Amino acid sequence: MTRVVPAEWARVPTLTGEVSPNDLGIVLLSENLMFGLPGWWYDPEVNFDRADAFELIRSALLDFKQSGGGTIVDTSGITLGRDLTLCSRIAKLTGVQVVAATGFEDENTSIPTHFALPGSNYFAPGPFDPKRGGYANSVWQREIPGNFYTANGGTKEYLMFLFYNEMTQGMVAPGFIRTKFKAGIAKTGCGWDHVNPVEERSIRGTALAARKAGLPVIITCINQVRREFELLVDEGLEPDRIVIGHCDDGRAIDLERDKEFARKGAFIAYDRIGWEDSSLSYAISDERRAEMVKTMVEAGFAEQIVLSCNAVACTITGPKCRHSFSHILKSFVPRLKKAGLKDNAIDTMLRENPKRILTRR
Amino acid sequence: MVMTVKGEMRPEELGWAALFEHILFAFPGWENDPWVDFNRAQVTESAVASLREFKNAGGGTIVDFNGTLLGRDAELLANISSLADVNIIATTGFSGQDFTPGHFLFPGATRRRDILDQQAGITYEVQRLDADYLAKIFYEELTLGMVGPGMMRTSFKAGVVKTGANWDRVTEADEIAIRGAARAAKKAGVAVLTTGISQAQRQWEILLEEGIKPDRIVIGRCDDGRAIDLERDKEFARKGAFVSYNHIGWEDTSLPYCIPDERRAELVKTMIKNGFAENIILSCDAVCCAISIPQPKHSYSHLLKSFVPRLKKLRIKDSVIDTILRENPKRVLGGK
Amino acid sequence: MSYVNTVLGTIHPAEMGITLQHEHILWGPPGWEFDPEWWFHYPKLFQKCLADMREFRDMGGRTIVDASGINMGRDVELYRMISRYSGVHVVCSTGFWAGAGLYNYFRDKDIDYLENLFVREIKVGMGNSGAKAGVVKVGNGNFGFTEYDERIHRAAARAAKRTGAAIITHGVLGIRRQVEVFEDEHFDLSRVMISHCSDNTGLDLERDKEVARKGAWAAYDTFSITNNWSWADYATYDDVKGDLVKAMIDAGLIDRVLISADVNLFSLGWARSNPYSGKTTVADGLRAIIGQFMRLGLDESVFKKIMIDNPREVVPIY
Repeated sequence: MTRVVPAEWARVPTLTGEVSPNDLGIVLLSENLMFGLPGWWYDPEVNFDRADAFELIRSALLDFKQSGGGTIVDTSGITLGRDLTLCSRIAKLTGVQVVAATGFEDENTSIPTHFALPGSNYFAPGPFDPKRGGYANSVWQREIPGNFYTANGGTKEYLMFLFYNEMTQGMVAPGFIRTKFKAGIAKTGCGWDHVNPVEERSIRGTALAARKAGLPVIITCINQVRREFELLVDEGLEPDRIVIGHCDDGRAIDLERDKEFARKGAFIAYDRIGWEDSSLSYAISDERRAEMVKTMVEAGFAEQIVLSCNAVACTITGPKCRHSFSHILKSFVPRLKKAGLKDNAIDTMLRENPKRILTRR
Repeated sequence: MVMTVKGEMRPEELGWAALFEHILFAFPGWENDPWVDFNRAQVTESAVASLREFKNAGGGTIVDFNGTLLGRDAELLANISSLADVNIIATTGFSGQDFTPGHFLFPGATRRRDILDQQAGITYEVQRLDADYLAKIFYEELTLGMVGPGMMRTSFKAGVVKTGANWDRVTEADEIAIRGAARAAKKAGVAVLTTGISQAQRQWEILLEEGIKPDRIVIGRCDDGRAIDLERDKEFARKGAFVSYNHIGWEDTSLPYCIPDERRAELVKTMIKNGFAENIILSCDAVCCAISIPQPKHSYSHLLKSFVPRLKKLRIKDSVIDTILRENPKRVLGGK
Repeated sequence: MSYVNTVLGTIHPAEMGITLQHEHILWGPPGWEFDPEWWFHYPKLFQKCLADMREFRDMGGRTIVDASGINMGRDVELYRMISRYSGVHVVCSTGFWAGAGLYNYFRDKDIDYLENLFVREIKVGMGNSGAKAGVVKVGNGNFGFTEYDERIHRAAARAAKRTGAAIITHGVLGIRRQVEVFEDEHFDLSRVMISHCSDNTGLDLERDKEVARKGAWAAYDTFSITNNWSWADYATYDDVKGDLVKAMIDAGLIDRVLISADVNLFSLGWARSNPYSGKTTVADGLRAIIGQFMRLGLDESVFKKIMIDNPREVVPIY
C-alpha cells in the first residue's frame, strides 16, 4: 500500500544533509567505505592509520564521482566499520552523497555479545529458566533518566528501538555520541546455515523499525533468504521494501529463486560485482554476472534489479578488495552494453530502482 | 621521639645512624623521560639487599636525604624499611633553586586557590608564595604525612627537615625555602640538615634568625672537595652545631667535589684531636637507584666496612667511633 | 626475581598487602558502546570508582586484581587514573573471560594467535598503552565447555607458561574440564586460581578439595553476590561461603585457599544498582569478608595468611 507523503518526509538522509530522491543520480546500493570486524581495535597487529584511511576512501569516492556516480549506500551497519565523522568529512570534500545503514548481519561477525547473551539486559525477579535461555517474568529497567521503560529487554522490541533511534534520532558513534546523521536504510542477515534466535530477534526488530520509519531493508544472507523474508513479512514489512542482497553469491546462484522473489515485489541485488577472485568461495566472474542480469532483464524484471559492488575502500580486517566503487561504471556497464542491454534498462537499474527503494514511505 | 617511616621511635633505639643517604636520586621531572628504566620491584630488591648489608655490618638507621623533590616515594621507603629491618627517616624540604621546579620558584607570586564549599559553592583565597606558605607544606609533611602521587597525602611522616642553596649564592627562592624549613622545624621540634657547603654560612645565619638552636643543626658536605675548610668546621663546632663529612666513598677525583677517603679520614682525625668528637657526623650519600647522576659504586655499608676500619687504623678509639655513629645522631635527632 | 605487573608499573610482591584477587572495576560483554540505552555519565563513573577504591584503601586494602580480561570492559586509561588517585594497586588481566565473551573479531583466531596476544599483553603491554597485564584470565560460559572455551584455555596455559604469569579462571560448571585441559597442557596447577568455588550453581566441597590437593587454588571469591540482595541463581549466603572456607582450613588446605568479592564497581550493559551484585564496592566486599572471619572466630594470623600471604604467593609473575 503506497501512501502519499509530504515531500520533506521523502528526503533521503545522507552524511552531508538530506537530499531529494530526484537528486540521487546513479546509486550503488551496497558498498563499504571501511570494513572491519568489531574488536579489531584490540589487536595490536592491526595497523590502522587514520590518515591513510582518509586518503583511500577519498580517492575511491572521487573516482566514483568522476565516473558519473552520484550516491553510495554504505551498508556496514552498526558494527562492521562504520565511521561517521570520518566519512561525512570525505563525502563533503568529494561531493558524493553517502547514505549509511543501521542493522546487524550474522551473529558471528557482527552481533557483539552484549546483544546476544539472553538476559544480558535485565535483572530478574523470576527464576532462571534454561529452556527459555533467560529469566521468566523479567522486567527491565534502566537508570538513565528521561527514557522509556520497556518490558522484556533482550527482545525484538529492544533491538527495534536500537535501529529505530538510529533512523530517526541519529546513528551512534564511539564515545557515547549520537550523531545527527540518520540511517537511510536498514540491513539484516544471519548465519549461512540457519537463523539462530539472536538473529531472529535482530531480523524482526529490523522489520519493525523499518516499517515504522518507512525505510527499506536489505537482506545479506542469500542462503537463508526464504526464512529471512518470511520473518520480515511476518512483522509487517511489505515485499517492495525488501532488497534481497548477494544474489550473485557463487555458493547460491538461483535465477528461479530470484524471479520468484521479484514476482512478489522484492528487489534483487547483484551486488558483488567485481569480486572475481576465484579463491573466495562467493566470487564468480563478472561475465557470468552480466549473463544473469541479461537473463533477468529479458525475463521482464528490469524494474526489480539493483546492481552494486560491495567494494571496500579501506579494509581493516578481511580479504583485500581489488576493485573500487567505480568498477561498476567503468567495467560492468560496458559489459552489459556489449551483452546487448539498452541504456534505459541500465538507467532503470542504476537510477530508478534505487530511487524507489530509498524514498521513504 | 624521632619520626621514622615506620612510626615514632626513641632516639636510643636508632643505633648506628647514617644521616645523609638516598634510596633513589632523581631530579624533579624524571618521570617524564621515556628512556629512564625504573623498575620498582628491582629497586626494592636492591635497596633491601644493600640495607641488609648495612645492618649486618652494625648499622641501624639511615636518613633518606632527598627532601620533598629529589625522587622520594614514601610507600617505597616504608616497604624497604620493613623488609630490610632498618629504620629509615625521611626528609622534607628543598635542595637549592637549581633542583626546584617552577611552581615554587617565584617568591612573592600570588596564586588563587579555589575552595569548594558545600554551602557557598566555589570561593577562593589568594596566597603568596613565601616562607610561611612553604613552612606549612613542610610542617604538614612532618605531622600529617608526606605527599604522594595522585594528589594524596600518605600516612608516612618525615622526621627531619633539609635545606639547601645554589652553589654560588642563596637566591630569593632558596631563602624562602630555608626560612620555611626552619619555621616548620622549629614548630615540630625536629633537626635541620643542611647541604650546599659553599653557602653554609648564610644558611646558618638564616636558621639562627628563625630561632633554630645550633645543637639541632647539621652542616652537611664539609668534605666537598671544592670547599674543604677545617677552620670553618671548627668554628661551627665551637658554636655547638654538628659538622658532617657525608660524601664518604665518593673518591673519583675527576669530579671536583670528590676527595679520597684517606683524606677524609685525616680531616675527621684532626677534628677529633681538636676536641670536637661530639660534633662530628659521618655518612656516605650512597644511592641505590641513581637516575639523574652517575651511579656510585659504593653502598650504605661502605661507611662501616671501609671507612670505620680506616679510622681505626688511624688509632681512633672504638668509643669515639661509637660516639660519632650513635650518640651524635641521637642527640641531634632526638633533641632535648 | 618475582614481580607484579600493575597498571602503573611493576611493584615488588611485598607491596601487595591485603589483596582481593578477583574483582572488576568495569565489566560487561562487548557491544554495549553501540547501545545508547547503556551509555552513562563518565565523570560520575570515575567519581564512584575513585570513592570506592579510596574507601577500600582506607580500610587497609592495597591491591585488587581486575579479572575482566580483553574486551570485557577493561579500560586501561581509566584504571590508571583510578589507581593513581586512590593509591590502590590494580593488576590487569589479559585473556578472555569466556568463549562467549570473545568480540566478533577474535572468534576465528587460532590458539597460536591467542597465545601470542596474551604473551604480548604481559611482556610488552596492553594495546599501545605500555601498561602490562599481570595475570591471564580464562573461562567457560554457563552453558557447557564450547570449542571457543577450549581454544582460549589452551592458549592461556601456553601463554602463562611462557611468561611465568598465573591464571584466573571463570565458570564453575566447567572446573573439572578446565583442570583436565591444563593438565593436558602440562601446566603447573599451582599457578591456577580456580574461581567461583562459592557459586551456588556449582557448590562442591569435595571437588574443591580434590582440585586443591592437585595443587591448584580454590577461590571463594563471590563475597559480594549474596542471597540477601540477589535473585541471581549463583548467589549464596555469606555464611555458606564462610563455612566452605572454614571446611577447607579444617581439611588442612589453608595453603590453597583464596577469598575475594567479585565486585563490579560499574557494570557495562547490565542494570546498575541491581540485585545481581548487592554489594557493588570493594570496600563492602572487604567488610563482608572481615565479617565472616569474625563470625568464624578465625584470628588475625589466618586473615593475614589468606588475604595477604596467599595472594602474594600466587599472583606475581615468576
